[in-house]
Amino acid sequence: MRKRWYALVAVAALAALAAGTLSPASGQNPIVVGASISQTGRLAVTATYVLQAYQLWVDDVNAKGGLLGRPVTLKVYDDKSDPGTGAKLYEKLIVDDKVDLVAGPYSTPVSAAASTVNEKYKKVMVAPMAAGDALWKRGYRYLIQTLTPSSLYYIGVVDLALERGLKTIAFMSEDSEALRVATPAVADLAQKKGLKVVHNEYFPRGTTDFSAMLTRIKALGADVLVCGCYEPESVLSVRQSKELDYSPRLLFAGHGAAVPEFYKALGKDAEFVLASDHWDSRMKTPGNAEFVERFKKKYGREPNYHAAGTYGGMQAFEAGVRKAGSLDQDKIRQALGELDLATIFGRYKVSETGGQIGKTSIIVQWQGGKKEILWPGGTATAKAMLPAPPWAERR
Amino acid sequence: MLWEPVLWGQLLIHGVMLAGLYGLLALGLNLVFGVMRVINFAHGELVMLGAFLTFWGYTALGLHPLVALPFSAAVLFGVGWALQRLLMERVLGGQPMAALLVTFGLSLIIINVGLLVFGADIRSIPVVSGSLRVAGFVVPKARGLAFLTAVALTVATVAFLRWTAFGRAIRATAQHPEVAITCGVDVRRTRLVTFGLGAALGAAAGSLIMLILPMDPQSGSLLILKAFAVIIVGGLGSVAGSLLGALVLGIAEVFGSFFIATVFGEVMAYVLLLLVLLVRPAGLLGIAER
Repeated sequence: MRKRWYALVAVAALAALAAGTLSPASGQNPIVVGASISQTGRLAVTATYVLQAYQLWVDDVNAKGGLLGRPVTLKVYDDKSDPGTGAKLYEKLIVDDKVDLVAGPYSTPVSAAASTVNEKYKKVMVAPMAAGDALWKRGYRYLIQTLTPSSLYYIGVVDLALERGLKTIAFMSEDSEALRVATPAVADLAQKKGLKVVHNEYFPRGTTDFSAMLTRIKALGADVLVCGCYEPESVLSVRQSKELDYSPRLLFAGHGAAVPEFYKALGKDAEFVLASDHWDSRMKTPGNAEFVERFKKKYGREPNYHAAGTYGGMQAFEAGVRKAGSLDQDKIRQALGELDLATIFGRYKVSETGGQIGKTSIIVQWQGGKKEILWPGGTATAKAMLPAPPWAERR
Repeated sequence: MLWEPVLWGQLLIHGVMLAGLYGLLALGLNLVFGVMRVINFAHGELVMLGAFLTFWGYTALGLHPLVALPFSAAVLFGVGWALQRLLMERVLGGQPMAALLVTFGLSLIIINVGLLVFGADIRSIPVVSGSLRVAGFVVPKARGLAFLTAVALTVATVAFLRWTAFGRAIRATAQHPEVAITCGVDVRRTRLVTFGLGAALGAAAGSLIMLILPMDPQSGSLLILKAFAVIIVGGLGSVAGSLLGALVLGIAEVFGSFFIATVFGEVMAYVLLLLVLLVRPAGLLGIAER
């Protein structure tokens, strides 16, 4: 028992020494970044990625000598996956703890609740995990989005279709807030660039049968099928396309088709299917490979898009603070509004409202059981295998 | 394009295929209602358990879902029996609301245990995909299989109820438990077997659904909403009625989706429900409330 005690002291002393030599700024009063994270409750499993990305970012900033010449520390509370608790905790962080900077929680509902508090105290919150365009239509000023906005979810499909000389495109999308923004955006772009939109329809969540809709789309002979889908409908749309012997030359099945379960559920029928994804560890964004390496080393697991998105968001926050040159919230907000930055997660640029307009999804394709990045071109890992062969010609 | 007979024929096939799915879901639910007068809100969860057992058989043991079907049905028969023995028996015959609440609570428990054990990811089995070509029409294999199974199980259940001694005991219990007792029917055992059979039929549905729809632990409760509409349209407590109700709903949904909009297909269940309740409250083949 006593031996272990000595060892602990020795390790602590060494760590202190190491920290002292690594970060020259350590002697000063630290900049405190406050956030609430769902450490318990239904969001907790994913939220650990967000917390780990925050911690990695703090390590990296301190290794570079801190922010504005001061070291950075993190102050985190557990919001129990509850938006109401999250709002109270942000109030506590700002009023009682007087933190210098505020970073967002995990999930859109908690971010939405917290944003009302930050707006009241005029505290900038970079909310790396807040989706839902509606949050930036409330006239708030201090909320900054870094996640892919719905309007840029699917736009890469248009370029890929045009490259292969495809002419007609059909849409079937889940009737959800995000897809009611994503689908018209890509349909508009398709039309502008000369693709003919032959069908555009929404279906309610939990639809168990697409046979009528796909019979119609097949009869219209659409070259491209875009399913605005999450997991269950991504699988169902591909399975029923095969059942109906409808072979679009480009079949895109949304975000739901990017998860490993999609391939497991469909087996070989998932081949040639395109999907959209927020991020990939092979993306050639500056510093991405190093981020993946450091994350794996520190936590012993692969980062996901939640981790990468959080880290990328904090890179933007950091750049904003450096550009402002102070902790004055209005100066930081102005700097964040002017930035146009390449983070590991992708491009960062916001509109007047603070909503994201620079970050796009990547488009991937299942090739030989693996996802290959097709779009944007600069970050592609393989050539598009298009047009997809008809079902009848596949083994 | 809209008025081609080939297209109508194709849509009819899709409607019948969808009916197979609904018929499977409704069969066990309706059998249990017929005998116990209890709407089993946990039936969707029994379907889900059957589906996940089949999935486990496929991934861990390499069993084809059709081979796994009798096994998962047998396991769920045991589960149904146990549920009746330990829970339902205690609340039947008392306040009708109590039995409803028990099944509702059971549903919540099974979903959440399912989420803990299986996770929230979607699962499906990629065998029997694609379709057959019959006289210029496409007939989806997996859905076709589900339809044939629904017909076979419905016929088997009707025959069992009509021509076997035990089936007659079940019907006697359904019609009048007190008189059944005086005639020497072991009502308690009959109910145990019925709840077990209901669960086994649910498991059979689950095995086939694994080929058709991606499932997660919460899918059962969403799917079963349609089955409620099916048994009300077809006739509460009538086994043959649930297949008829499924056919009416499946075909109406596909035609509604095609000629109006997919959203309307989903409304069909409620439109039919209202129509039946207004015109023929006992359902198409329903037995009048005693």
